[in-house]
Amino acid sequence: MDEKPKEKVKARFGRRMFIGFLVAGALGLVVSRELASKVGGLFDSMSLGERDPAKGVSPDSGIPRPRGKFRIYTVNGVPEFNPATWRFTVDGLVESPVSLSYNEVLKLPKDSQVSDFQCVTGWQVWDVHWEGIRIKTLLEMVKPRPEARYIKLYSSDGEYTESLSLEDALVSDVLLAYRMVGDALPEEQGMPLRLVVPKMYGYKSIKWVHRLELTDKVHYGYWEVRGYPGDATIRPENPFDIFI
Amino acid sequence: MPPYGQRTPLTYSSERVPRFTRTERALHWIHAIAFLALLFTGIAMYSQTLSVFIGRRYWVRFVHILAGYVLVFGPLLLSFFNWRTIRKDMEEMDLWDRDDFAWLKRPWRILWGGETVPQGKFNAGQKLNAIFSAACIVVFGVTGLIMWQFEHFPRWLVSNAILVHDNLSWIAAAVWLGHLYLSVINPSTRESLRGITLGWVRASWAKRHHSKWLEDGEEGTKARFL
Repeated sequence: MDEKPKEKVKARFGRRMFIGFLVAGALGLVVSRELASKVGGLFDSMSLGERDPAKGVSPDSGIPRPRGKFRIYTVNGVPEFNPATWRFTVDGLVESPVSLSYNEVLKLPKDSQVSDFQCVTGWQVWDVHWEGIRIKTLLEMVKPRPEARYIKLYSSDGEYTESLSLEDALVSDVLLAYRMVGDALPEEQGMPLRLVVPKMYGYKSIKWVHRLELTDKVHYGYWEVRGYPGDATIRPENPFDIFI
Repeated sequence: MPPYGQRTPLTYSSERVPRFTRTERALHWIHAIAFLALLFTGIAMYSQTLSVFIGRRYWVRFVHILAGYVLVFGPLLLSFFNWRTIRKDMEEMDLWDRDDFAWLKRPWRILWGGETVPQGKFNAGQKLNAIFSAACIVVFGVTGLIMWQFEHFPRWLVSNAILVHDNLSWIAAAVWLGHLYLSVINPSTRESLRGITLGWVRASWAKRHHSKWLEDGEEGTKARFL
């Protein structure tokens, strides 16, 4: 009968719960990508107000359906596009600078590709169909001077810039795109013109491009002066990665 | 105890009991401000509509990381100034008795203010919330660090970190909404708001909701193992 009243008996349960939550978090850190690909749309469906990138795909168009969803990042809003006044210039260290209207850009030799898009913050979209112009086409028009080594790209948002070395710009899957997944480029995706560099993280793929300037020295773009590597080449997966 | 004041309804005791010290309140509000800053800047970066509307991604991101620092180091800094108080509360959160588990079996009783299982300084729900919040600091901190310093981590880990970080945010936001409802709206529990703002509560309320704390005082923290 010397049993204590029940409410006096205590256990150190809080710390166990705390550890339990941490273990759950650690588990998530190991398996969540695997889980997300299995559960499919559940995680994606929580995205707020995202446009379906595949809305222009019809079954007989031959255009693949992209897998995954874009997250839209802007640093200075979405600039307005007026096809009547918009000009696209290529200048700097070139023999004959050009300034083109939107219709003139559309009439340039066109190319298309299907490539993956990898963001530096971890998300990716596979099999995105892009149509646009190769940088090589533009360089043939403007004839770079021998001292030109880099291309600086300007966004119409007035803030974002990026740069590519000429070698990187001439890689076969680098594209200045004006169509995406069988439809005009959505405005939040860079309408009317955006860069696509599949082998580099998405911050290299500057949107709303309106000017290319050829220079002799490297320029560090918006995120690069804010800490991102100047060489945006995508890191290979960890060789010990078993969770692909 | 000083009288509560003229507007006190007669049915309530006019007696005040000190509930939270300045350290405890500072801890709560530093956490609260950092959490809200993180939640709103996080939503601003996550939502396509909002991030396009707000733009200024670099500054939103900057505030998010800054608030993350406050969330992680604020409590540590306070512990440095008044470890005794914080240690005592942590002890309270750690120790669970049978009443706590009984409370957890029928947590909805708290909603309509009926008779609940006698509770100590914190009821089982408050303990659970505090433990979850503390674990969240660690999990958000680690996954956030991986997202921020992505170039030093393998790519599969960065993708996993972003998934955990994003999805845990929804859970944390839901828990916060529940916390807000109980502390500001729900009539039987909103007295507790006085404790975390002014530092005291009415004795009659404390007797109903935290009777063991009111009766035992500091004795209640003395541990005896199950």
